[in-house]
Amino acid sequence: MIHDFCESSWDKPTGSRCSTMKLHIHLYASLASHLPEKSDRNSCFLEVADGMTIRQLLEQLGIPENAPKILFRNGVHAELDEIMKDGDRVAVFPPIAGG
Amino acid sequence: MSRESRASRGEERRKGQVNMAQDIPRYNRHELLRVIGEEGQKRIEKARVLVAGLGALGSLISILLARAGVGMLRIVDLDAPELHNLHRQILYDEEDTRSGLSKAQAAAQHLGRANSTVQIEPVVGAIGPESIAELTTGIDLVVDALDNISARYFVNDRILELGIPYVFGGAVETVGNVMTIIPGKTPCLRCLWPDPYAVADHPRASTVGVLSAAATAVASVQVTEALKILVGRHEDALAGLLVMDLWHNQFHVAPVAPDPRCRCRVYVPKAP
Repeated sequence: MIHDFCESSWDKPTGSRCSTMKLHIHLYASLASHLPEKSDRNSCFLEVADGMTIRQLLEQLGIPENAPKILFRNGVHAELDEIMKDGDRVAVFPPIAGG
Repeated sequence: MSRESRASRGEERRKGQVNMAQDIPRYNRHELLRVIGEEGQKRIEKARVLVAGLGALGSLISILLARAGVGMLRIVDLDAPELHNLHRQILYDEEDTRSGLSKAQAAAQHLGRANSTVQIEPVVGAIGPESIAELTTGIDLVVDALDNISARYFVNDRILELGIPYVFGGAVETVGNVMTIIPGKTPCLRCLWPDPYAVADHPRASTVGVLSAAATAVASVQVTEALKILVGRHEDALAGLLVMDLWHNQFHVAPVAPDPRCRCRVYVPKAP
């Protein structure tokens, strides 16, 4: 499913047609509830403004910044302030540590 | 089967002409599996495994590994069984909560009754910097059943030093994780959780609960991963992080690549 967030309040349009990138977002376990409606069970494709950071993405998805979470970008651990690129796969997991 | 044929079969058994149940080798149903076989079973019987933690995960892990005939099981936990453990910690019973025994001691008794051929080494204690070296001495594989993050970092760092595999697992609410770590080949726990502070405030069973079946499902996957390693089928191991939510029917293996900044990279064999 494609969401064009250029037309939403997500990004910060510069007045002209904004440049976008497409991301594949995976939210696991309890975080899946933050996916847009009509997403697959735990993933969706999003089109967002170029230059968006993971922190901005999570903010737009409504995931609290202080929620314990693990971030992966293209399968490698990522930081909140990393700027994403077109085609990136972003995955967010809650840490599951109970025994 | 008619009365006559049953009688005839009983007579044959008495004469030793057919296998009686006790003549079937103990591990026959594992040995029949193409992925284990007799050779794999021999490897299992020679293996020395540390089960780190004896809560919900450790209960089932130690039961299944003992019944599978693992040569030596070192089992470690600091706590004693309590009534609120029993819904998911299937190794213990009500008597254990009254006996005053530690989990490790009670577990050793139950496991010994399940399989007297397995050497059980119960250790009452915590996993930390003072104990991790001794606990892992002579061990071929560590299976994780811990309930806290910091102990897992000690285990992770130690198995990297020793070059022995480690099956990480965790469960809380209705969700579970499993990842198999083979030093030099796969990402390690620090590739998954590089920042201890980011995961320190993880959800706990004592606050959000845990579904018993979620914990035992995680433990079953961990045991399967352990057996793959013990029989030498590393190529069959999970490639990535298994994330499952039993209640919401979600089962995913999320790709996890080694973090090039992680300390585990120094254990990767250099190309000739």
